[in-house]
Amino acid sequence: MKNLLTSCLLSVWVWTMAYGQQPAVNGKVIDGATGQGLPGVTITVKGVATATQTDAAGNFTIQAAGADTLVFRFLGFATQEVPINDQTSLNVTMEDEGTALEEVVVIGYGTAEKRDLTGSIAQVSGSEVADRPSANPVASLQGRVAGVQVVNSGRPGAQPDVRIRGTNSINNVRPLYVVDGILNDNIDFLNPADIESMEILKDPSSLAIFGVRGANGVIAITTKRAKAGQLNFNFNSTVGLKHVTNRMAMTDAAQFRELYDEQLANQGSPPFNYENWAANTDWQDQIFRQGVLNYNNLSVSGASENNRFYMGLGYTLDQGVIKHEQLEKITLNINDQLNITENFRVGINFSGYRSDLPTPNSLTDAAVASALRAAPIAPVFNDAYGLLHTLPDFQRAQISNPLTNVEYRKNTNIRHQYRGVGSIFGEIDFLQHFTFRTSFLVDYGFNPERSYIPLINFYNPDLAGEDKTDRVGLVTTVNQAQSTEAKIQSDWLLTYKNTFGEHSLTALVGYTTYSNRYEQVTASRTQGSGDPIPNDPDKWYVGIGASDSQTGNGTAWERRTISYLARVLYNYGGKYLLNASFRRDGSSAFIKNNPWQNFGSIGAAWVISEERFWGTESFIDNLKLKGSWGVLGNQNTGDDYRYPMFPLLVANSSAVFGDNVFPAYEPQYIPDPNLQWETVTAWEAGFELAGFENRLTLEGVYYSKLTDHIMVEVPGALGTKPGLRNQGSIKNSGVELAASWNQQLTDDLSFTIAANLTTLSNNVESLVDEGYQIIRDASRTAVGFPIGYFYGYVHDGIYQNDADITNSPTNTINEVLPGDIKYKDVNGDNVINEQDRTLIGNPTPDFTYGAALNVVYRQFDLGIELMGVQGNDIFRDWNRNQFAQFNFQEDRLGRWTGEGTSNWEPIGNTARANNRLISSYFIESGGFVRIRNIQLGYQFASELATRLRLKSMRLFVNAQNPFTFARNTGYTPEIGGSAIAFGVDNGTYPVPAIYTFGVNLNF
Amino acid sequence: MKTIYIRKHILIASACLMATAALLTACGESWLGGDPLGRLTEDDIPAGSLEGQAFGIYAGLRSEGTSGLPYVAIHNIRSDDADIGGGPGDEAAAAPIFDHFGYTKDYWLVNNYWTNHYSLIALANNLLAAADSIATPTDLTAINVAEAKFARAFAYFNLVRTFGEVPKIDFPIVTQDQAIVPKSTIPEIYALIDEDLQEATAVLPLTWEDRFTGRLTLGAAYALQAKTYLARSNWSGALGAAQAVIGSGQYDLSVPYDMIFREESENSRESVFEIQAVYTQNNREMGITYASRQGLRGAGDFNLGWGWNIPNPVLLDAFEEGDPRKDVTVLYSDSVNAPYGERIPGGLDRPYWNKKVYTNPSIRASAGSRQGEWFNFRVIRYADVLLMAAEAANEIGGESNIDLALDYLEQVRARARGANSGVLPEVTTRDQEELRQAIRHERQVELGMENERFFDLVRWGIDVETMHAAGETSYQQRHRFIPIPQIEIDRSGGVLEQNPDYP
Repeated sequence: MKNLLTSCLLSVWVWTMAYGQQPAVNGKVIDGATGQGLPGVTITVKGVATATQTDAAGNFTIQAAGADTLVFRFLGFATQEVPINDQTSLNVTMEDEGTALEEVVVIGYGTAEKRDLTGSIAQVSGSEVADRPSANPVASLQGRVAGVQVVNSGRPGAQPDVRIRGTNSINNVRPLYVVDGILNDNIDFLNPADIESMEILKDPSSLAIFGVRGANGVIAITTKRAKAGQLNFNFNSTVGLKHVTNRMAMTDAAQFRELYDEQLANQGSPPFNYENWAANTDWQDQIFRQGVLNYNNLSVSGASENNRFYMGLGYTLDQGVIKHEQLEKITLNINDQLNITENFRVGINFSGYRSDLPTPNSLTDAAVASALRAAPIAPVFNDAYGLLHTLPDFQRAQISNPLTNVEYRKNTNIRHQYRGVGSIFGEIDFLQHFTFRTSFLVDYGFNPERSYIPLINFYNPDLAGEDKTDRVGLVTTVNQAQSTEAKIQSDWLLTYKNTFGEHSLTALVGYTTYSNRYEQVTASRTQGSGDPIPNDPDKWYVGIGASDSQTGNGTAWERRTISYLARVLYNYGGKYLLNASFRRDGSSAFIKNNPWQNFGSIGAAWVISEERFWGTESFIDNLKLKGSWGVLGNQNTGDDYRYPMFPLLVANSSAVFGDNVFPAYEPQYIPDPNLQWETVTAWEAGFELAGFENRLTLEGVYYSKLTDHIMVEVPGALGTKPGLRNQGSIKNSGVELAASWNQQLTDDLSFTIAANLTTLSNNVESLVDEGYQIIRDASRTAVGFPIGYFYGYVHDGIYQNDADITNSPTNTINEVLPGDIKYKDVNGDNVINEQDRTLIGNPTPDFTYGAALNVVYRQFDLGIELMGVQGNDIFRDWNRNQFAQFNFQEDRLGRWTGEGTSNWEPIGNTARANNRLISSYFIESGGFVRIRNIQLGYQFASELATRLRLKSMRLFVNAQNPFTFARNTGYTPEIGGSAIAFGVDNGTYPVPAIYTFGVNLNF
Repeated sequence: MKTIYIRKHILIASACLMATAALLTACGESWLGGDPLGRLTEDDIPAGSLEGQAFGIYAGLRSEGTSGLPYVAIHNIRSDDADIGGGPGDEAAAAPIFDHFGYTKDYWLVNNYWTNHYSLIALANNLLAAADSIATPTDLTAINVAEAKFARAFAYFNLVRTFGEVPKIDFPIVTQDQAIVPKSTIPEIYALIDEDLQEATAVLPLTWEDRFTGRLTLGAAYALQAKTYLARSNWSGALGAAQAVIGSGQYDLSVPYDMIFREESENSRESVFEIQAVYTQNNREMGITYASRQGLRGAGDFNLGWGWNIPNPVLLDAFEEGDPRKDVTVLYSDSVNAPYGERIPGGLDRPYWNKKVYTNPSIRASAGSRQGEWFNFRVIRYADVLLMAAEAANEIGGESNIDLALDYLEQVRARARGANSGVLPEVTTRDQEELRQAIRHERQVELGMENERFFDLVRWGIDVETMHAAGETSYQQRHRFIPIPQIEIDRSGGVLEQNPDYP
């Protein structure tokens, strides 16, 4: 297989190799970076159709007159024009484009030099994410970029919760991903090792070109292309271990008994009989393990003047910290660009992906939650029966043995994803200044899933009779589901680029279409009156099982957009910059109303350091003042509103008469005939500065975004159906600061230090009508407050005695007794009632920050990254709604047991409804500081590498999340969620520390 | 040469590209169009048919709030002769609310009860609005309208008894602000109930073809109407409505008392209004939770449910000596129980359980569940109608009415007595007060654990004394009504006001 690939590859490469010519001028082209000869450089005589290429050593000869000028071209290098001036021998040194030119960044539908832009685009190079132990590359952006808040999950391969410049919408906060021009809502298919660079587009002048999809910001990803030069192979491999560093502090058996006995006594309930419940089980130990991580990537690239080829192959094994949880993923990426002539280029790009998904979240979530909740007095397993032990009867109604999902249902979900993302493009230059580019892009995903529900038996000592087998799951079931999702995009772009004296202009007009279609079928069967379906993966197809038990279902949806776009990038003398863009979008989402809307932006900048009056003596090398304003859109109507304008019916309710079932239809929601896009009006103002010979860079921006016509799912009050409405606005504003300093201290020692800070302020400006609130348990969204703030009573101590109750404001909500929580009389009317509820927490941080230090000493490199979040709150919810008795948090050992014993933890007694009210008792600080990453690498000396027939070799060790300093009681302070309910700890999956060792070889 | 060839190809290729671009662009806006994939919209409903929406109302009746624990907790656990049950944790959390009347303004059962009842009202309102737009109504659409009005009346009757003053929504809510309305008075709510039942009793059919077994009938509408009249002591109205059921010829007491609460007796001659459920291995969506929430709370094969709503000694003592109904109403722990001969283990949390949700073990096996999701909820049965008629007749008084009352009462006692003539002697008193007490007693034992007791006590005006006699001394008259869920008040931005008894 590998041989086949290699030979294919070689043939492509050989095919692109060059031609020959007769001598006149000769010489050598040298790669400025390596000092080696550069093969494959195209040399033409200016104004004449003569051309040649350098040979393998970089030598060339070409027929040309002494007055001619030679043009040296090579991809990835700056083109040079060299007059012959009657010489017969010429040596030319070519410099890498990257060092020769200004920083080039990806903007929508094209690239631009960063110096020509008026907006805020942050760039992260692929090498900074490639060797991090995150299967999802976005996870590695955490703490690195100002304005980008990343809340990671510890699940294998999970998408992090990413918010760019705050929470802009209620339905969706995810940014748009643009991978080599393909618009996408996730990048699960992408191998971090294939990423060349990631650009984060944050400001209106960069985003308006994405129109209706730009409101939440854009992460543009460029995958690797072949670099100039000879054939290059790269292999890298990483192995590592994952480990849950912060276990939650729960009571052990003795402590549990102490608290539970006391609670039963306080309630006047009969004592519990511990006869069969004498174990001391740490359930967290039972479900967690050290997960193994292994990434292997191989890439091959080769380039000649007319062709650039890159191929990458990756394999990822990512085990979760819960037993039997594992993700496997194979990715491949091929791209090729062929220059048919100087003016005409075509290319293809293909990413393939296959994954074997880990245990579904629903099972692992339940395992984590029940490991926290299960009583430590229950044994794990009964050897005589070979069965898991049941939990005590006071728990069974709500929770079961945490290993039920982990062991009994291990590997019962076989879920694969296949995805092919491919594109082709053609690009032609004409009339000197014009370029026309067209591309077609297809992203096709196929997701087959099979699952099995086994019989579930526990050993239960409470059972009467001889047989202690408690048969809980009585029916075996097989389920199969298959879904496909196709995204098809076409782009038609015409670019005009010209310079008139001091005026420089790049203009773009374009047309693009996008469609996204999803289809799913599901089926299931049970055993019926027959024998159980075998617990054997080979049998888990819906052909097995009782045919009369078969059920099936299916769903589908499609969304389409058509867009016209235009953009102008203008500058005068590199001093005065103007960027303007416009986009007109039509969306099928709003087809019954007016599907069209216009978006646009304008930005300006002044590069003061280019002015004549700016002395060259200044320590400031570059100073740009910039500002932009724009209107962006959002058509994210949410999963339940794929067709928000249509009065859809749901058939999931049916009438039953006797044993006959009749399908009933009812409206799914109330459609709003006037529904339209959300619009985000945003502006920013800031500066960019470079100084001290570019050792210092400093960027600062103030941003403000007002999302208007927010699409709110207005819940059905009084039993009506909900409906999507444009009713509200949210404002996000803040400051972003980023600074870096790099310095070469000695020949052997250099360092870079970088830091960033983002402040966030979020406020709901209007929502439906006066006084209207969206309520999700503790989370509320209401005018004048940050989105999803926590609302409840304020804990004001514990009633110590009857006199304390008498002397305190009267609690009219519940009868209170000593030991209960005293709530604060917020409005001062000497009565505690509903009016005393207030803001008790805000899940949005005040600011987030990150810092990084990189030191290079000889062949060693060391990188340390730190990140932190400050000023946000967490609502602890995982143990609030218990109707069965859960295990206790260790904090409960400090409960009130009599006067003066505690002024925070209430008495142990579930009959006291007062203490379950949503209050600041459940609020925890969400701020934390984390050593995000430490990496130590060693680059082998080139002589040694050469001896090993390698171009280069690097070894590294990496520690991710080794230390977190947090004050909350849960596994992690990183708790995401939906736009309107986040920061709520429901027993969140832990974020593990990951220790890896890796090697990177080039040959 | 080569270059020229290539140039030519480029020209051709470019021309093709441009042509394709032009074609694609030409598609324009129509390319955006298209109906929702795989989904029906309101435009797809056959013109003039309300049948699908009417079926939706029946689905709405299966919600937790109308047929599950919220219903049972509010209608039965609050009464003097039933307790919370469940596990010790349940008891600690919910007994203070439903047994000892320490109502809170935010408890999931009550919130659910409110929401699900208003959902049912919304389903009805939507159907009624759709009916208005039908130009030429058929007999069936008229019946669908009557079904909706029955459902709306049923929901409001529960709400007005549970919360007192509630918002009156008799129109389809299209925008959020329409749902924010202040409370209406109790008479205003009853006026709507009367109007709706007037129409339901005029239009619903006496009976349905076999495939619609259990669908709402004229008898159900009259029975509900009788109940709503009785709640307001409108004796003649109640008697008339109850007699319309009795005289319909559709119902009798031919089902022996110990057979009423078996699966095989669902939709029998006893059944007047029964919420229908189906649950099999391949259809797990159409069940209800009525039996599972109350089923015996044991382990293993005896994990039949959550074990809420259990009979207490007040109920056990209420049965006359030898009344066979006692052992049909009460399931005993640590003993062998009829009819399935199962030995209920000892050492359970509770000595008694509600036997009127006791499921057939062979159905448990075939359905692959012990939780009785298939078990229909008998909301109104014929014996209830007879006792309502007896009560109304006695209250009106007069010789002929007393004859009627005695006759109705005896019908119920005779069926209970069965072949055992030594028990449950016929009531013969013609004294109004004695007969009143006899009928009240009969309702308690005949309808034990059937969600009638609490509201019976309230309408008889003896709730306070009866609760106090049963030891629930914290009960006061204001506890007839539960405070409106705080979340509803929050959602209305304060337009909806709390019951002033709960400041």
